[in-house]
Amino acid sequence: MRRLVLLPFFSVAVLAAGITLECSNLIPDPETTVILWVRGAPLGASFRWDLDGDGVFESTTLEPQINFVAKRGSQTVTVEVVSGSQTLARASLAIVADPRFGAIRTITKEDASFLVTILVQAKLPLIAPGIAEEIPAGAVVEVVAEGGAFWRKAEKLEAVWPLILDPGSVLAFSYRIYSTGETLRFSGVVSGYIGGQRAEIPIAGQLQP
Amino acid sequence: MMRKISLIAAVALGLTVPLFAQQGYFEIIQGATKVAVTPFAGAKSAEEFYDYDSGQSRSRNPLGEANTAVLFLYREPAGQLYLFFILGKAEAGTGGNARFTIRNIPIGANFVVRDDGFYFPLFPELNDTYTPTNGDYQVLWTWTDGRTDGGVFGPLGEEFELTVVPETLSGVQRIVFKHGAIDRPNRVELNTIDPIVIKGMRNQPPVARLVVSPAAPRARQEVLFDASGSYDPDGTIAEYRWDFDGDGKIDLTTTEAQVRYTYVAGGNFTVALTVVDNTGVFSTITYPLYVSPITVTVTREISTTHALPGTIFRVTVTIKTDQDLIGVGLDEDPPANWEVIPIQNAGAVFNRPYVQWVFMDTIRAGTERVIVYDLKVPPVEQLAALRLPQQFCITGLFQSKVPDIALEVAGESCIIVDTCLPALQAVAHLIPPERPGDQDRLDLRLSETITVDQVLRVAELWRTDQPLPGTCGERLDLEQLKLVAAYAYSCTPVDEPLPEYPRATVTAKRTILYPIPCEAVVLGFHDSMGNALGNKFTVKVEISTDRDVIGVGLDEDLPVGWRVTPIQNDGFIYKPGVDQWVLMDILRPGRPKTIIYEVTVPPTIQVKKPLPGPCPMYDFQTVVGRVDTGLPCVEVEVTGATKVELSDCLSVLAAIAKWDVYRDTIDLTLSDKITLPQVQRAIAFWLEGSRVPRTCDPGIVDFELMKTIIAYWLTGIPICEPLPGQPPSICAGR
Repeated sequence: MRRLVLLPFFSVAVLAAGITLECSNLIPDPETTVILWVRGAPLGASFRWDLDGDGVFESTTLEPQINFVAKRGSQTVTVEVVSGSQTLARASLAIVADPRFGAIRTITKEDASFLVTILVQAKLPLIAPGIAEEIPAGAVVEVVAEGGAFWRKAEKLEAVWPLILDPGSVLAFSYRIYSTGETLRFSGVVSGYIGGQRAEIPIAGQLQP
Repeated sequence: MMRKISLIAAVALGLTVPLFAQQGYFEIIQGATKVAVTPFAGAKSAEEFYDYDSGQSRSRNPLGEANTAVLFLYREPAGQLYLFFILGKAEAGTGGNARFTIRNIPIGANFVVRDDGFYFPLFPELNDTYTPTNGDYQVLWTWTDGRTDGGVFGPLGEEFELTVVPETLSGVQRIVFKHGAIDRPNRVELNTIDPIVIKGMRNQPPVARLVVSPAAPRARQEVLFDASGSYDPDGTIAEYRWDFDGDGKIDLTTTEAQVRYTYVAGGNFTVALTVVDNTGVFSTITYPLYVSPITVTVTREISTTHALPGTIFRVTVTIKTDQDLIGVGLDEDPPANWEVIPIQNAGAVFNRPYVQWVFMDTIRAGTERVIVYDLKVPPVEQLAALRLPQQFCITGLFQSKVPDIALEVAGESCIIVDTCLPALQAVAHLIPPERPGDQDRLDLRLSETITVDQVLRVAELWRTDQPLPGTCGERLDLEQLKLVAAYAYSCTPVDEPLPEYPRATVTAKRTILYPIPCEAVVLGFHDSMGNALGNKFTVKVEISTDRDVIGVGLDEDLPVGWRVTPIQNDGFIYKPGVDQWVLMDILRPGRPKTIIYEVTVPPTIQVKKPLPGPCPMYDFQTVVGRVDTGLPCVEVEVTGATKVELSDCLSVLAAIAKWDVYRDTIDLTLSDKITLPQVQRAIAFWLEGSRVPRTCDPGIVDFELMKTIIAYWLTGIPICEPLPGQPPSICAGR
């Protein structure tokens, strides 16, 4: 069954209570400018940006926003909100630029778990779309909505849709994760066949709650 | 059962019974029974003694017995001797009839008393008949219950030998000859079948006596037989006849009473001495004699059965004794012009020119002496006049003065000189090289028992296809190698036959492991470096036994061009090129051996496409093999898998499991479990309806197969195993 979900392709990363990092498009086409902004920061705060994922903050702005040209592939963007000499918050988002398809992970905190939702969108006809999510050590995973996919839990959480995903169409798969670990980090890939060739790219969006 | 008194038995202990009567000597002979008898003597005439009661038609003589034919000799007061027949007993027993023939009757003898000598006209069947014919006398007696029959025959004179032949007897259960005193008669039980010889002689037989010394002799020891205690009561002993071994044949006849004899071997013997008097009458006694087995053995061992010209071999002479030996000498006689090299003289003085050893001391009982010497075979130039192979022998004589013993050296005596050694002899005398680069050497002085080092060396020679030294280039084959192991591990010298080993049940089972489970050996597949893949399969052969077996060979026969690479030999030695393995050791029950090898099929061979069906029918080749053992000799076929299926395509399911999604091609090194990317690839094949490359017909992912692929992915089960709830493939076990 093909399940289409229409959602804006931006995502929100929570930096701290009341402070969030948002992106205009987490799965842009390559060389497309996307906007990143922080919402809820206090007045007078400054923002330090690491846009290439090398751990070095290349830019510091007084404005809570920055434009970013996404290169082909995956890049992790990190922002730190600083007030005076105090770091108030820090958050990262993965942006994956690919002209063919993409997938976005969003993580929602629940009482004792996290609800993870992955949206897969095709920009070209995508045959047999599938996702594979790493399962953090010690975590327990429960599939909430498979969205028509065949899925299994082994070393990874894997799901595949036996269909051709048309351009613009979106598939959704969500699961709940229980973990006693201090820090949860997520990673995964989305894959499929386009034009007879296999393609596999990282899942964009939140990397941790 | 009849009781018989045997004259032989009576003298068996070396003591003769004086066989004489008041006048003359008499004996009864029936078959082997020979008894001296003494005639009755009485005051009555023979007729009176018979005491015939004509009214009752019976004898009143008290010697008669019911249902018995009683015979005896009776001498009248006047000296005449008569033979009595009394059949039955008055007022006892049943009636009967008896026919006897009396042969060789003395001149003038006749029935002087005839029981029922008259004629019964009313009862003709009761009439007796007395019929003399040509020197014989045939009588028929018939009597009724409680009566007797018989008669008195004579006079016999003093020198006679008549024969009474029982013919038809009825109502007579036994024949008894009575003698001695009338009031206390002796009985000789006779059978009712064989002729009875009754002899009378004036002359008495001699008395034989024998003394043997030593009383407990040993083999090869001279024994003195002394019959000088023998005598003849009425004459002289003219002759002694000796049967030393009791076989019934006279070994020696002497006029001397003492003789000496040496038994070659120990054992129980019955010595028979017959003394013959001056009238030809003889007596025989027997003497049981135990001769202890030989206690001195002198045995030669030769270190080889074959020798090459110019080589040296070893001779060992072992002297064992359980009695003291004094004045001992050994005289060996090797072939002429062969050099003798003394190695060990065991305390003896060696005389080289004569090849003699003399012991100057006493060889004590319970000890042994070992003389060792080497013999050098002349070089080939000196043997040029001979056509090889040629057999040469050593003779030897051992002598002891006290006790006086002379015997030939027993054991091995001959060797064959040739230009080549037999393989087993070469192995037993092989000296492996001590360092790399050294040559193998031969030393014929070594024993004929194969050592472990020699086993390992010849196994290496076999493995590397090198000739065996000393054999004119002979290369051992698998059969000979097992034989070597059998001799070595049974500790049997190579000049002896292998011992009998209980029959063993040896089994060998082959398992073929395909490179891709549940697929055939596939040809035409390569890795990213262009190396052929899928054309190698693994073979496992398990060999077991229910009893110890020595020397095990495995001979596998594969198609030409197929290359074997051993993976696990489990103690076996592998010989490349011929695909043979040999275990130069003992295979024990409960400890099977497993040989594993990999076979590479030439990737270029052409195979037929498999025929589609529920189970694809692949092209195939066969592997056969045989396991055999050295001791005991067992040969069995290797059972189990023999068919190697070949294909140049994969099943679609296997192709998906082996699909390298990144190179988008088949990679036979991948596992048998289907992954998510492979499922995606399968979905793509399914949705696109395209053919999966390098797969057998039909070669597409259809709806059913798609579900199967997803099921294998979801369950994580290898593709060769059935999915949960599904029966095993009907093709399983291929």
